[in-house]
Amino acid sequence: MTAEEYLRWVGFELHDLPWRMRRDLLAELREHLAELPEGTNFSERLGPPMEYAAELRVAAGLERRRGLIALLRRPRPRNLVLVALALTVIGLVIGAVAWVDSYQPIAEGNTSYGPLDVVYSPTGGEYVVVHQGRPFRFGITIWNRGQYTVRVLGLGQQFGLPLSFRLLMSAPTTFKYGGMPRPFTPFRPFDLKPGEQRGLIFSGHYDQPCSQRNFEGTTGWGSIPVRFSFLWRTTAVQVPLSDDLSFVYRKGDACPTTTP
Amino acid sequence: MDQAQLLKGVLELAVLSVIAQGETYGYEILSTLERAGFDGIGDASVYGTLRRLEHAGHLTSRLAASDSGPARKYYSVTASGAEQLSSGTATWTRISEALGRLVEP
Repeated sequence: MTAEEYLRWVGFELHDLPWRMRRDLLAELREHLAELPEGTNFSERLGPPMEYAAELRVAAGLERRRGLIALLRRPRPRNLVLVALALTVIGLVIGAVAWVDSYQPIAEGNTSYGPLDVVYSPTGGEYVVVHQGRPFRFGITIWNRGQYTVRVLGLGQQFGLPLSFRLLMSAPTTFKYGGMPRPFTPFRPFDLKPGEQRGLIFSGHYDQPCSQRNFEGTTGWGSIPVRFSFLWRTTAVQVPLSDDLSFVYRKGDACPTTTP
Repeated sequence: MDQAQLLKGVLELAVLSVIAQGETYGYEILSTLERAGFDGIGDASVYGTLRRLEHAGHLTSRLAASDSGPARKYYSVTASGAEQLSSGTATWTRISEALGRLVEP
């Protein structure tokens, strides 16, 4: 057994001791092994590493150490600091990723652009009657109530409304001043800065095949899915409408008088 | 009777006595002890005793470069160690004399 092997074994047997104490004990043993005549059989001279370590413990009054404190004192302090730093960085990265993944600053602004021929229901809400081919225009403002700029990319998944439309957008304004500044222009992705709001306008006409109409009830519109990106993340958020908009069908509107 | 066990009981006093003669290091202390007849004492017991005495403040140490390998740790006796040696020697003398009276015909 070489001196290094002997030291390693003894070090293993003393692994529960604090790093500094272990380092001092092993340094002295290293010094001692170097003093011994060349060719000395360390196990014969000092006893097997396990016995040497046990004898050292008894003579020095070093009891076996257990528990969390002992566990934390075993590694070299520098390594412990590095591990703590690495864990902190990993924690911060995970926290940052979780925060970015949950960041959602878009809300409905303070201005809407009501549909043509809207009827306000006395029980709350509003509705429009679907007339195939007639013009439809409706808009809401979306507002960035967060602290960071997000990029608005468009609408989320398609929703089954009885409409054919083009999406327009207004010029930007702030939540404080409100409104939906004209001119309306075809939608293009834009940055929505903190505190800024902008109108999204659905401009088109009623358009739905008779076979898809729900003559027994209504189709409701409660929120608008808006796609946006923030840093590396792209997602869609449902921006709720302050009042649900319902689409009501009337029999005979370019459709057979009986339900298909 | 196990001589090693008997020697261990007085090892602390023996180590202090060796170091009290002048600053010295582990291997030299061991060699001096062996020459004095402490040949049944394990090396680990001596190094463990050195650590315990130093921890108790009876010894002080310094590292010095060595020609033969790693730095040597040189020990010297502190004032507290000198007191310990003095009282230990007195106790040992009393025990030795008492035992001598008992075992001698």
